[in-house]
Amino acid sequence: MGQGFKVRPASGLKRHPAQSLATYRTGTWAWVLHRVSGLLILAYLYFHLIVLSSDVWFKGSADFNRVVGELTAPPFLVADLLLFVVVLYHALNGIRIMLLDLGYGIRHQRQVFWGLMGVGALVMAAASVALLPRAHL
Amino acid sequence: MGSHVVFQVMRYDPRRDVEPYWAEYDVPVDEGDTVLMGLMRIRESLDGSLAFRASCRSGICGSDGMVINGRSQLACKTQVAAMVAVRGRVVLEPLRNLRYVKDLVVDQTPFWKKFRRVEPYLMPAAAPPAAERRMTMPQDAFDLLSKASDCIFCEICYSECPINGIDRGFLGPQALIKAFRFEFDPRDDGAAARLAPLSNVEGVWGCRTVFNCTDACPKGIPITEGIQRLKRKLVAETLAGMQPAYRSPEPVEGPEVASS
Amino acid sequence: MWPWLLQRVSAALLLFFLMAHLWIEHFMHLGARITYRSVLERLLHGFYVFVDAGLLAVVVFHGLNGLRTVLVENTNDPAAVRAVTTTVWVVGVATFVFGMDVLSPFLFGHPWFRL
Repeated sequence: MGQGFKVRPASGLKRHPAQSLATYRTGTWAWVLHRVSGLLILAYLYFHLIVLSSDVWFKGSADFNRVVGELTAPPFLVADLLLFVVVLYHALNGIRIMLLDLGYGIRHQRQVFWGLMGVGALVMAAASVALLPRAHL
Repeated sequence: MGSHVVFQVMRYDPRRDVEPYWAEYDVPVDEGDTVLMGLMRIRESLDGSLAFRASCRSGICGSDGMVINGRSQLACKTQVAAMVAVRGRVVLEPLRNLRYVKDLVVDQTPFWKKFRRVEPYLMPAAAPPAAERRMTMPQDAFDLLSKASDCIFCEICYSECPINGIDRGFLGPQALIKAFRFEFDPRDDGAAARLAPLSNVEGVWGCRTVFNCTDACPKGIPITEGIQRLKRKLVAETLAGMQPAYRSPEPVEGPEVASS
Repeated sequence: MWPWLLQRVSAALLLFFLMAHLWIEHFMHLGARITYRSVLERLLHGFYVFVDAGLLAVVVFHGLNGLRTVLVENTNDPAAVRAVTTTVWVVGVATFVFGMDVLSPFLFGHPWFRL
């Protein structure tokens, strides 16, 4: 007894193991990213409303026009596109969730997910082409 | 004519150990050996104190579910060679989302309690037929439910589901697929009794269609599909229940049931 | 069931409102200069106001209902769930009023709560 094995401490092990990354498959990533993107969009909603309600919005057109000029500078357009990626992901995965809830594509959920992500890449490319030239207004 | 493979096993005895630790065993394996064969060799010739559950060795009893190289699987249905091909060794941990009892054995109590919560038995819609007759079901209903009836209670779906990881109250895939099996049985009339446990954030509404259960199920049961059907059934019944006509249904002429 | 079902219903509405909002704000006037006056004229159009007000109502519901789901997911305490639900409703109504206030000059000619 005891000849063919050795023992070593493993303080990294938890008594009540949570999920490890090994359990993350397509559906898990879709779920986690959906949640993260949803919270990001909610934060943006408040940012959006606060910006619009600020004095600039109501006082004098000169201020407004200056701020719009600043907001169409390249860094903000890149931020706009990043926001668009987040919203687009949330919308497309939301469509996937509603399709699954209606009973469509359950047996092919991976293909449905990647198909919708492909659609998202195309929309993203089109939106970039349409929006980026505005940096030179 | 075998070779030696390292089995890295999580050891933990709460009565003796402060925390879990790894034990590494050099296990002689033959071609075609399953992980369970390796475990039995360890217990027979290397370390008799290693605890794990197993019984039939052929994927029927559902006893030897464990986390093998990161994924919950049945030790008797997992080839050592397939695990070694990916990671060079076999890494064994107990199932997730359940309390450790010892080594690879977990406390199944919450799993069984949640299973019972969904009233997992047939509540006959009509009086039982006479002794010489049987309660048959149509072929299409049988086809819909036969996979869900294959469940072997191995707890692999419970271990893989991330919702069970974050919500200790969530009934879990197994209880829900069993509820599906009876809710969609045309002979069953238990919808009212199962409404409270099922139509609940700890019931079907807690499912986030992650599909881990369906991917991991060793019996190939389309678990998520069944849960999705349950959701649609509950929505349809609740919306129909809001119409006044539903509240006072016309008495329906049923088939005469022979009484002895 | 209702939080789950209404989350899907509001999601479907959002697809319409958000696409209309983005189309109006970003793509219909591509290339044109954005000035205070052009935005004012745009928002005086009834359909735009309908889209923005509808979007506001639906997005606040959808966003805060989602937040509520995240917050109550690992609690089994009914009192905690009720507290979260009440808080989220109060925040939601306040957000909607705040958002309508942003739109109000174009609806009524003057802001609701602005001095």
